[in-house]
Amino acid sequence: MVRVLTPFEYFEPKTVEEASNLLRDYGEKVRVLAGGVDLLARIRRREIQVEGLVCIQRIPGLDYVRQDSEGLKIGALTTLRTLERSQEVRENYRLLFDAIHSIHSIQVKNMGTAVGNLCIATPASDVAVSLLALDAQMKIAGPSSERSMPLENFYLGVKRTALQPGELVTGILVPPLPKGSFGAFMKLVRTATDIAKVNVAVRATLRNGGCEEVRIALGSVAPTIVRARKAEEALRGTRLEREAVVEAAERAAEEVNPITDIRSTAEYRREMVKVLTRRAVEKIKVEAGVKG
Amino acid sequence: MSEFSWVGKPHPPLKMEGVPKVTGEAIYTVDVKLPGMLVGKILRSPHPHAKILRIDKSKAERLPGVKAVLTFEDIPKVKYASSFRDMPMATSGTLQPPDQYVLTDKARYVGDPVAAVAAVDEYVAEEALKLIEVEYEPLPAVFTIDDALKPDAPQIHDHAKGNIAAHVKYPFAQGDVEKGFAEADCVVEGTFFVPRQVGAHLEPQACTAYVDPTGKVTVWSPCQLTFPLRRELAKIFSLPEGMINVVTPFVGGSFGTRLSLYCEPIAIALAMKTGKPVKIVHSKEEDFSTLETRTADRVTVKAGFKKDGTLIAMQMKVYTWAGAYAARAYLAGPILLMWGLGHYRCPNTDGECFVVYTNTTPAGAMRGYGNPEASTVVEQIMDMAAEKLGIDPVELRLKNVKKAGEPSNLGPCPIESTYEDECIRIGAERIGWWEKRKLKKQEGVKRRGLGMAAMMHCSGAWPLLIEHSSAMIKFNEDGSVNMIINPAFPGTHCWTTLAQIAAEELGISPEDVHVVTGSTDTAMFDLGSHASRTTYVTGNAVLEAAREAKRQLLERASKMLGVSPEELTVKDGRVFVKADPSKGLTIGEIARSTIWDLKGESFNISGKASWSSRYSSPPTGAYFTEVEVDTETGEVKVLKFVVVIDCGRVINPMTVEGQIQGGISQGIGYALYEDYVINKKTGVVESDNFNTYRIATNYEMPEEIEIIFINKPDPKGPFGAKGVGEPAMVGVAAAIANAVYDAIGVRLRELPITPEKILKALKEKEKG
Repeated sequence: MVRVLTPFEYFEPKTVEEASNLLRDYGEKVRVLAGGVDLLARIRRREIQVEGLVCIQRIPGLDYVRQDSEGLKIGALTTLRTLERSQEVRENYRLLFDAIHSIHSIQVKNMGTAVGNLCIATPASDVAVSLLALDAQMKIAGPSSERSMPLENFYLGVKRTALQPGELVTGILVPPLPKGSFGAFMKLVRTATDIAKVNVAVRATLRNGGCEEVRIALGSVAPTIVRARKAEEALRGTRLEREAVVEAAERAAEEVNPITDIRSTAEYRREMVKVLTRRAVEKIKVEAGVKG
Repeated sequence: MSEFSWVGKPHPPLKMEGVPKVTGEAIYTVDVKLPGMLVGKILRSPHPHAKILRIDKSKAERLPGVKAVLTFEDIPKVKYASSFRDMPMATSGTLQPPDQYVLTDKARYVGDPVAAVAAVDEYVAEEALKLIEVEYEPLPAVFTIDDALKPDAPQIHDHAKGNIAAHVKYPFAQGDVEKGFAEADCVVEGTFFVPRQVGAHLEPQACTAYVDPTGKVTVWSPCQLTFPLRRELAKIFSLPEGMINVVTPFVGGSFGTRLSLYCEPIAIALAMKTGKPVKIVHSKEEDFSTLETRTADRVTVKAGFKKDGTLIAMQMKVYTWAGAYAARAYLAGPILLMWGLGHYRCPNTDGECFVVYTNTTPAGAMRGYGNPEASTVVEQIMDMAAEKLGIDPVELRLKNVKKAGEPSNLGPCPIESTYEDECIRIGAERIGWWEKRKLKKQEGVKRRGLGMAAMMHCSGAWPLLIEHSSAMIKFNEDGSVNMIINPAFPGTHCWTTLAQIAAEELGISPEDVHVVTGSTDTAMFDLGSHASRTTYVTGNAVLEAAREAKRQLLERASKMLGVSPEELTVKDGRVFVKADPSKGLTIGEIARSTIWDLKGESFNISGKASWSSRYSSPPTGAYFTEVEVDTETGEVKVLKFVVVIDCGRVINPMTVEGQIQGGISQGIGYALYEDYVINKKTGVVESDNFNTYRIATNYEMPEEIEIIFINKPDPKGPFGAKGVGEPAMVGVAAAIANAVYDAIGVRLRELPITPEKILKALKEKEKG
């Protein structure tokens, strides 16, 4: 029932390198502060202990969203609200827009950054699920080098990422979407401004009515966000016939490992993976004009 | 043309009530700052039930910046009742026994205060809490009604054998229920569970206390019942009432939670010990875990009807899930019986209520005080009976609603006015009840349903409680008045409503009514803001005071104008001769020359009045809703609400509409979302903040809301007004529950109606 923040050191590096060095030197004792939505609440509630915060808000050049031949590029300080209001995101990456738009608290979107949302490694993230379905890459900077990693490999467990000591995420790259791409994002919540009980993002590449490629990403149903690979297999190469969709939905429900918590039950979540996966694919069919 | 200048017209909040809130400059209890003020914090038990064997506060006391550390050994060993032990009851029988210490030596729930510190800032205070060493002897604990009632259950209080805090028989039982059931053509019965609900107001619970060198105590508190609070504090500290001044700044929401006493005595004890002002502000987690919630109840109802739908027998048995202290559960449980058994006309009634202690957060009052609970159960029983009898639910209610002159729901006092039947008819028509029910199809994934509930509430709690309010009105030289009143102001904009009442009578503008309020030293007695009574009871006191001030005004004017007072009237700030409106004086001219009378006959035109209500004018109403249930996900979407309300003559349609919209929102939360989760092993409240405890927001509101006022004057209310604050939410959950049943054919007997429960029930139905 505590209220005050515990005392901590506060750093304001001016460059990524400086930030990275601080993270390397202090290791687990410090955390990166970008928007602070999740971090400050968790410190206050004593869910995490920190001795220092490395605030990256003063580092120039990290607040951007732009699209070029490599895809959509998002900086580490770009807020969810900026992305939601970006024409490129709204028009060309609708799946990401829909996920952000489904977060109803504008205050949270004004404070929170997309990268921060990914780095807190919550399995319930709407943004992470949609970016997983979009094959997003994480741009990571370390003390002496930079690297890139698929979002899919970024999570090791609940609130655990693959970041090494001294590393921080500087941006996200979402590759260009192939022609014939369609997406659908769906989620279930207790109330509109709540965190998802279950969320699903499906992206499919359709050619001549056939499903050439597909991604099914699920949230809040396992320790990390997950891809339903067996379900994807059930759809790949089909014409998204009703039986294939039902089969994929069934498989998706088998692939997850949900828990019961204050928001929902394991049983309900598993059942809803089935319903939402089916509905998401059906929505894609409607948008793509696929019959049957 | 209306006969009134102000009554019945939409009026935005008075500038003094609205502007400071919009600009953020309104002072709430959490904003109070005094020179040299210390921060108080409370050490709370981590155990649901434990004896304290030893407390060592020496380390905490030695921490620099700590000014006082108190344990039960430092506090007057006086038991108190959080709901004010002797709030004077007009009908007897259910007074809460004092069962609580300010700081306890035996913890009875997780969060029970065991020690407190005052320090120079929050950081030091919190550090000091960690340094207090407490040796607990954990005792077995019980968290549910069933566990608390087991023969071998641990005893939570020595005075309450079997953990029964109270066993109350329905005091207004009539006839012979067994005979009634025997004569009935149709009997329906059901057991329902209605859950706790949190007030969820935005301003945290807070208190600042200061003791001046003469020993006079000043307490800033958001309590809704300032005078009863003063009385209870006087008892705890053995002080005369006059030595305590309770100040109530703006109140950031209350919804009944703040009817009780919380950290006030701790702040006073710390202020007494340190000689400095001490302020305590709860964290939101403390609010959710320790403030009284709506009671949860297990309610069994049996109702017998004749073939034509006439209700002839009704019986209720209630188990009220009280927390570690009886608190307001002591009253809310038994009153649930009155709402439930007293709503419809019935010759044979009987009921009983067991209030059961458990090792959980105290439960008590919340908006409606047992009536949303009773409504949720009884209105569903009415629908079950309607189905069994083959009578339309609307018709069944019309058959059984009470008429004016019959006994009210709260006892033998007759109903002064009711238009419940009209509310039901209009509501049914506006939602398209008969057409939509005829067209309804029970197929497809998304299914729609219609539901309704009828409602009868109260305007003040007479004859259960004394309902006493007072008001003073005095004229200033400029023709404006000061209106000195003191109910609490929890955001209902009652200043505006009360100013409209005064302005109407005095012939001035509501903006010329300067409200003076907020302290027991300044104002005459007012019981407070509860039971939908402020407009009805304080409003009558205001009207009486205004009449007296007006009498003096006209008398003075008659001397100045050389005509008799009867020939005069007042309107738009001017007193004039009725037969010759050109002959007159402004109120300012009269007031000024009365205050500054060079002939030596000065006085201040003023009126004061106390109003002791001896009436019951129950507001009535009907709620109709249309919902859509997704049978694959179990989600319920509330599409439309029609609320028809008979709250007498509406003084300010704007604030009444606001109340009803808020009531719909809170009712939707109660019906569908709000879930107070207590860990079954540890007794810890898991839903301890807004992220875990979900209330409805704008997104959950139906797109269509229609609010209709009957707007017929009640004979006893000021200008014919009745209460409306609580009625706004009473029938909302019941209507939703009935609509969900209409949509999917499954009746869920436990709120909140979550998607998880709906899907489970649908599956069980499929299995048969």
